[in-house]
Amino acid sequence: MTGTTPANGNGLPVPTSPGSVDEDVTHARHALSDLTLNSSPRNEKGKEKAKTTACRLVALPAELIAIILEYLVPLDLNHVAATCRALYRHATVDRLWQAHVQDNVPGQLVTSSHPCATFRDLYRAHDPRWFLPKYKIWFADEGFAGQLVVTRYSQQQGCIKGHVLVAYNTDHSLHVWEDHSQTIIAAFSPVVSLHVEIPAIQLSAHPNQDPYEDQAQSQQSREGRNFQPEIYMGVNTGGGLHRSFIHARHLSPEDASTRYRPHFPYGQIWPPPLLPAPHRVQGAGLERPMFLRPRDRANSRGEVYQRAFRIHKWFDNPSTHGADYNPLGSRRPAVYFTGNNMRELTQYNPPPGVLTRRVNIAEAISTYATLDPELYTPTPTKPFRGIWVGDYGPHGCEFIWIHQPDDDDDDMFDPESIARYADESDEAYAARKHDATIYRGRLEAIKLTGDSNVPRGEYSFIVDDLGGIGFLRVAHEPPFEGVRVVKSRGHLASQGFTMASDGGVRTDDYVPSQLFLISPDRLAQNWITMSRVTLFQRVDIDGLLVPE
Amino acid sequence: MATNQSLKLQNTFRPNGRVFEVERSAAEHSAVVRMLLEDFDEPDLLVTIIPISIDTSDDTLAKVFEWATHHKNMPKPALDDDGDRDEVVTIQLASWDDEFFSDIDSETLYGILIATNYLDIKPLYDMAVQVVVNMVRGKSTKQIREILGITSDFTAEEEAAIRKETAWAYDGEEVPNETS
Repeated sequence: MTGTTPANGNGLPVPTSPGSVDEDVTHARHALSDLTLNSSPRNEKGKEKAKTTACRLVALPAELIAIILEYLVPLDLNHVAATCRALYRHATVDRLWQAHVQDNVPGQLVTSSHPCATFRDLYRAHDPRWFLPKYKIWFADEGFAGQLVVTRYSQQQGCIKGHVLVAYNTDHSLHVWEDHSQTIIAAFSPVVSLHVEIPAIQLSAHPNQDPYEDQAQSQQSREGRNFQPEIYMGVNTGGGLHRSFIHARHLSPEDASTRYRPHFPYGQIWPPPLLPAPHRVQGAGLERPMFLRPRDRANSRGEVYQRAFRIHKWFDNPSTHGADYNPLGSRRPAVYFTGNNMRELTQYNPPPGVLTRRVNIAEAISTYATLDPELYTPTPTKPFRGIWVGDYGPHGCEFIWIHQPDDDDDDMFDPESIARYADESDEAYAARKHDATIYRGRLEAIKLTGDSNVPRGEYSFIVDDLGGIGFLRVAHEPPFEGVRVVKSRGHLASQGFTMASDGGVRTDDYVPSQLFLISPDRLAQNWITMSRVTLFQRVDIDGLLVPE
Repeated sequence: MATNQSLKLQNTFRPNGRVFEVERSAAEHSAVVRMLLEDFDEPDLLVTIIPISIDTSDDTLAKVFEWATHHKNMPKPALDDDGDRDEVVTIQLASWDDEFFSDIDSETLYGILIATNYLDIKPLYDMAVQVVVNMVRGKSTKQIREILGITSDFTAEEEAAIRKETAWAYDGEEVPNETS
């Protein structure tokens, strides 16, 4: 560690950027360039002033100021930068801003500020949307099926992108379970990948101009002066499908409880109740009439809820216009799909990004929400936590979140309290303690994407206790030799699930089933009443975060 | 060897620095002092004045040694333990430390930063950083200027340019327009 440096030795380099793409900022920089090139006052009057405003914090060694500024968030840095010349130099050191960009870009080392000259500019360009790459996964309320989108940052393009996560099974073979000849085991070799050809979200540092946007309004937003509640993302390849990104504002607790309904679809709040979230937002676009009220939208930067957003899609096709419904109150021609309820919608599940005119959708808004990464990150004692892909037969692959909630007695549990059997070997005793640590507590499989029987946001199966009373046996028969089997409850429902709002009778039920804990990355669920065993496999989300 | 043995330390940065008598267990909070001690023979320690050279006042050093003396029994990190200086974690100040910091002016606070940085007294250094950070965190430009005693030395032109440069972070109504 170095000692003190002279009090005036804090002339840190400040990134100047003659090649800035943003004229506005270049202009601002011009006025500030004196600060960066020459910190001494330019005239006598200035010199006198500088003497009287000497600030002791500024007199600290540069390295100490730098360390203090590391603790500040971007808004604080802006405030500090605006106090005086010396602190301006310190608070605009690009290393600080690079760290703030990095904080929001998991899975890769951020080294490029492209297309901006500095990381400070880059941070500004994507503010307040850095939460998108930060939270990685987003599930949507589109129909019963929903959709899972993975967001990531492309340094090469300077772009925040979101891609639909798709999975398909490459092995459709069925095998008779030797020891249970009535039961079929469905093979499962899923390929999980991002649908990169048509991004669901594409937000560049310098957004496209919305053809429907008022000229003056867009000019203002391009100057970066005002918060943009909705950002046009351009026309989709070929189909004439326009898309925009809309910031969401969360419901107030009172609003949320007023909107909430005890049965599916829960008054369209998003995320649905089984998915933990600090706040809920109003879902939109499923049932008519469903309007986005002004207070469901973020109208300023401070109102942005960082764990949800909406995507607005519409066709630029005059023949579909005409209705007076205008969900966003925007100037653009707006209609929405007519005469649908959720049940009809699910009849057709278009492949990601390829909405076609065969369905009556001319305009739709989907709402996306995320999950706290901690909830799907495995730990030594909760090894099954994660995002998984499962085989749902005719419905194809679906994504589920395996939730192992923290137990109240987790802290009380001590494997050392387990008594050793008189004739037990060291290995057997250690293995038993290990098992007792891992196989305990509840496990819930909650659908992030779903189908017309059991939709997104619902339980797929539940294990009430991985140990204790939940334990059934250790399997000895192929192909599950040595695998631990626990009691589970499988969630089954007839087509259309339960539409309480239709006065529907509850058609879903939980049936006794068994879960085979093959490994922390692979599970098998024996749906006993269906005489079928289906498989589940962990999805490596972090492995998808770095663009090729 | 008794741990309550006293050491003599003197700041030689300016002439006639005060000689501090500090209990060994307190002085050992400083990784720098501990390294110096390794170079001394035990008997010499009683008579030697250990020189340190820091650009801070004697009063500031007195505060540093007051803290170290109060916490003399607190375990010290091993010398080869580099710690996680890079890790940005927020520390919760214990009540004695909270009191300690509430009593000192900002001049002394900055001095403590410099002294603990030089002497490598990590716990006190971390806390001092935290205290300065808390003075600034969540404050407006105007408030920061008041707290740190800064008068703007920007020209009107520069002020306007900064406002433009940072406008993205404001919701419109709270863009700073102080022209002090």
